[in-house]
Amino acid sequence: MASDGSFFRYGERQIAAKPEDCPAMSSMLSLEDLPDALLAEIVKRITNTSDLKSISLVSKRLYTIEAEQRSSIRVGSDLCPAIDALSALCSRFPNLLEVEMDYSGWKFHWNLLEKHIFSLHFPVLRDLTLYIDDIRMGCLASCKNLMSLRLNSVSAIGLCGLLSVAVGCKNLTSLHIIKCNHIVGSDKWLEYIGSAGSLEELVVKNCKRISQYDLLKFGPGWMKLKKFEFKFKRSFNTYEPRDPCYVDNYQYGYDFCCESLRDVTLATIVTKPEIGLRCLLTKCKALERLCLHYVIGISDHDIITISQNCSNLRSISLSQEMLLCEIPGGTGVMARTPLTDDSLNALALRSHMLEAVELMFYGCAPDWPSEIAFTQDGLVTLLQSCPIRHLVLRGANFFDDEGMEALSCAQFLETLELMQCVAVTDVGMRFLAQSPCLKNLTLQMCYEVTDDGVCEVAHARDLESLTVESCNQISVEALHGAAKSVHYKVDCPSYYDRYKD
Amino acid sequence: MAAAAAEATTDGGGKMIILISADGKRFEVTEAVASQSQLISNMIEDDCTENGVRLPNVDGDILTMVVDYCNMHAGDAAAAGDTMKASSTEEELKKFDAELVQALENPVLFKLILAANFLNIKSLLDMTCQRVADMMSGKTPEQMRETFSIENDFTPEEEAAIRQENAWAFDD
Repeated sequence: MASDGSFFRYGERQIAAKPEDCPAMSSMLSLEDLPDALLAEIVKRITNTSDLKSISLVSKRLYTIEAEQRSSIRVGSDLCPAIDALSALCSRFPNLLEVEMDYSGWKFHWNLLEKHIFSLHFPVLRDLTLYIDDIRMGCLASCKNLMSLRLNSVSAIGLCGLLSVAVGCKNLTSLHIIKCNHIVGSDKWLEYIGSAGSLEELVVKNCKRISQYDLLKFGPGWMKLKKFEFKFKRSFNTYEPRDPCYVDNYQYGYDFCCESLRDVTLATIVTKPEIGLRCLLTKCKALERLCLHYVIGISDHDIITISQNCSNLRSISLSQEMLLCEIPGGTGVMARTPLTDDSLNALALRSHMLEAVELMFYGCAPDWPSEIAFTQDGLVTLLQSCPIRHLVLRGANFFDDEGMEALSCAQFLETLELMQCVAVTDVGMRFLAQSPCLKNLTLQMCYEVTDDGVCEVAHARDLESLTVESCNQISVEALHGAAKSVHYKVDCPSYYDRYKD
Repeated sequence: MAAAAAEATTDGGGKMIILISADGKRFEVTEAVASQSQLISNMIEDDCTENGVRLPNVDGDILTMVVDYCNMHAGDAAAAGDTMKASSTEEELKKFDAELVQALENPVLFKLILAANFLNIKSLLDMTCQRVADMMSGKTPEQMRETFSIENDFTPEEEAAIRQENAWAFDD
């Protein structure tokens, strides 16, 4: 009668009892007759925080069971007085694995945290998210099991800063640093984590004092890294300075391997040939997912290199805006998006695993489709060559009903999102009705598509989901029952908040 | 309902064993069907099912449900050669499961949880616990007490203190 460990011995305890003594035999059996372990099994299945709060108020027994089961909390500046309240919460919930604290805009003595909170109460903490103005990172070093640390808007971090976290939390595998303007990239922490740590995921977004050149100091750490995301906050026309360590023809700083890297996002950075994070694009061989959003300085050459090196590439997302580009032959410059059909052709030729493609264009006029250097032919070649399941086009002015006809033959296409594709009309939607696997359709700011077009697709394809936003010729009435799940909005969020966080 | 158990004799699932409920009802099932209970599976391994398996804390009505459930789900666990069970599709199983738990009165549901735990049938325990969890969700503490006939043993002061503490943590 061995138990497999995940079960409780309630039954075995009861087996010797006389039948009439067993609670199971009583016709008045209630929830409270279940043993604690089974009540915990039930409470464990409830994830909604407000339901958990209600359970804690039902009875003393449920209060205790719920407190033991709670694995995550989010707290914020409602806590008052903060330290006592936090202590109370932490001793009530002894098994917290995930904690998120939002104290943005608050000032108080966080050094008390060191003694009272982190060292005492978080023995098993695995996942910590902080939105705090001022914290001495040293106190986090006592969370030995910490695997994931997310710092958001943490402006002051104490003397040793992230270095003490790097030294104390040996199991840290995921580090997110977002809007932390006081964390200085040139301090030693990055080098230390790179050489001694086991980080697999590194995300740095909108931190003024961590530049792409600092990240190159991550050195041997790049070997283990699987996911990397870097976004630098910039406004128009401001350019990052050159790498202070860079000397022409001497590439010491760029001599690292990143063989595990599968997922790379680079956003709003300026790169020059041979310097900066752009070097990642020539080094990654295991890359599966790539996002390049407003990376100034990127060229067809980079995409061609990726198509040659990364045979496992499954997903690519490219956001581009108009820039001054040299006309081939050196006869001058013109304003257009930097990547051309050469990139699409290279992907079509070599990326046989490519399933998800997102192409987004900003600031290009519909009247001048040639401002976008991709053409419909280039895109159709890609669609015909790769097993595309998910396609997103935003502001693709070159894409019209002929393109939709080609798209309808893409035999793996399951999800299509068309945003601001002004040349697509009902004619194109009728082609789409033939698309064999289409399940999810999103139309946003597609002004030429009407009720007739969208309904034809919906009825022919038996869609799982249909999302229509800001399409003034499509009415909510027409969409009634058109798909298993329908979302309709008259307007949609502006695209121009892209430089926000 | 005992007929469902009897039917199992005809579908060639190997050796039969007898399960005996607390009130003396006998159920004949194949070893393959009964083995979904880890408890019985272990007993079969230890060769102690010869004279029937007495289950002194599972009464007949509940054991009927458990046997029905195990017969229905034998296809999941048993060898693929079992053609008759292979005919019950995933969708039919889902429907059967949903109907089984939806219809139950509270005391019966709790008895089924105890039986699933005692017999160590993980999928049945998961399903029944989930049902209670679903019944709790979206309810106020008062509604929960009412649904499950639980007495409030907090003093008003204690309750107020917990409410204040709860307010500190954010909802999802």
